Amino acid sequence: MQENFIIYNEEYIIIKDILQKLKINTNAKVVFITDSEGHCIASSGEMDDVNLNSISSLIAGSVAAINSIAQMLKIDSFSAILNESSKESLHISLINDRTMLVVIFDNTSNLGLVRFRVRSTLEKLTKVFQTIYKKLKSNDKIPGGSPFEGVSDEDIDRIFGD
Amino acid sequence: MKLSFLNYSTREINFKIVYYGPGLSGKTTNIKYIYDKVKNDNKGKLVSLATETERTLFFDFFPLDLGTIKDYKVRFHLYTVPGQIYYSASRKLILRGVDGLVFVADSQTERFEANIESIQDMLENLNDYKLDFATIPYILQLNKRDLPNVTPANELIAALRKKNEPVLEGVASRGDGVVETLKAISRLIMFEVKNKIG
Repeated sequence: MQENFIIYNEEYIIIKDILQKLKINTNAKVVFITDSEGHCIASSGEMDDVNLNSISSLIAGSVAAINSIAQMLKIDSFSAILNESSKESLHISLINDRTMLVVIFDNTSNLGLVRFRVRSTLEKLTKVFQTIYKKLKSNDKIPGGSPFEGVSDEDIDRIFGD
Repeated sequence: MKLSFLNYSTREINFKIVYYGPGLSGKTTNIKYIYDKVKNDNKGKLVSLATETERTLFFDFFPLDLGTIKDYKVRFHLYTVPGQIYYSASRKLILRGVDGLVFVADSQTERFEANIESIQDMLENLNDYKLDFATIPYILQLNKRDLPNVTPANELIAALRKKNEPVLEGVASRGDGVVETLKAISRLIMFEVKNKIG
């Protein structure tokens, strides 16, 4: 059974701050974190017409596919993936087995700088996620009760516009 | 109950719903109908990784924002799996982290066995992830009820119903039963969250 994945306010603020610094230090267009199930956890920066939820689902799917290929070929799983193009490039690196850091950058940055900054960022993010997982383990129940306490059929009808 | 992703800071809660079923049973038709019906502000792009003949290759996906319930922004991530038998590895990957499942059965008599094989495949894949089918919100949709050569609904239910789950009849190509199915699985997921977490 997979565990709940809950981000609390304290860690979210720290993560956002780390991402913002990475974005500035690498001159990236967007940096974000996605989990292995395709949920965008936090981001810094924006790109026109890009929905980070859609991108996150595709990144999670492609990373899972590449890891499955590695397993079938009996080779080690990757720790980073790079997709370079003439204008924009995509750098994906694993924070842990459940989350990954994505940097989208253009020619105003460069791969060496991204790799260098990502390395130190991963160390910081690893610590934050260790704290999150510790909290999740010790707090199986959601503090403050279920988010849907008191939810009714009418609430569900309402969101479907009935 | 697993809870896909909850962000306390932004008060967002995300759920992953997967449409499962044999090839050409109407999984993509279901989510395309929902996609077309939803206002632009409430949805992300429909991602469709399909072959040249529009058969789903890896998955179809779109994020659907349903508004707020109890101050939480509720977002559903709708996925389909590729139905063809040789895409088993892809199907398994997509099941990872699933919060709710819809099995789209093809009611045509010649697809009776394909439905049974697909449910078996789904149960095996869930088992591989150590996901307990008994506790996962689950809906059975009997699709293509408008076609002339369909198995009677009671016979399909007898063969396909696994845990007293709600059964809905549908004709996804014209939208019949599609939104009702999504509402039914949403209701099961939210009540599961309400009852099991807190």
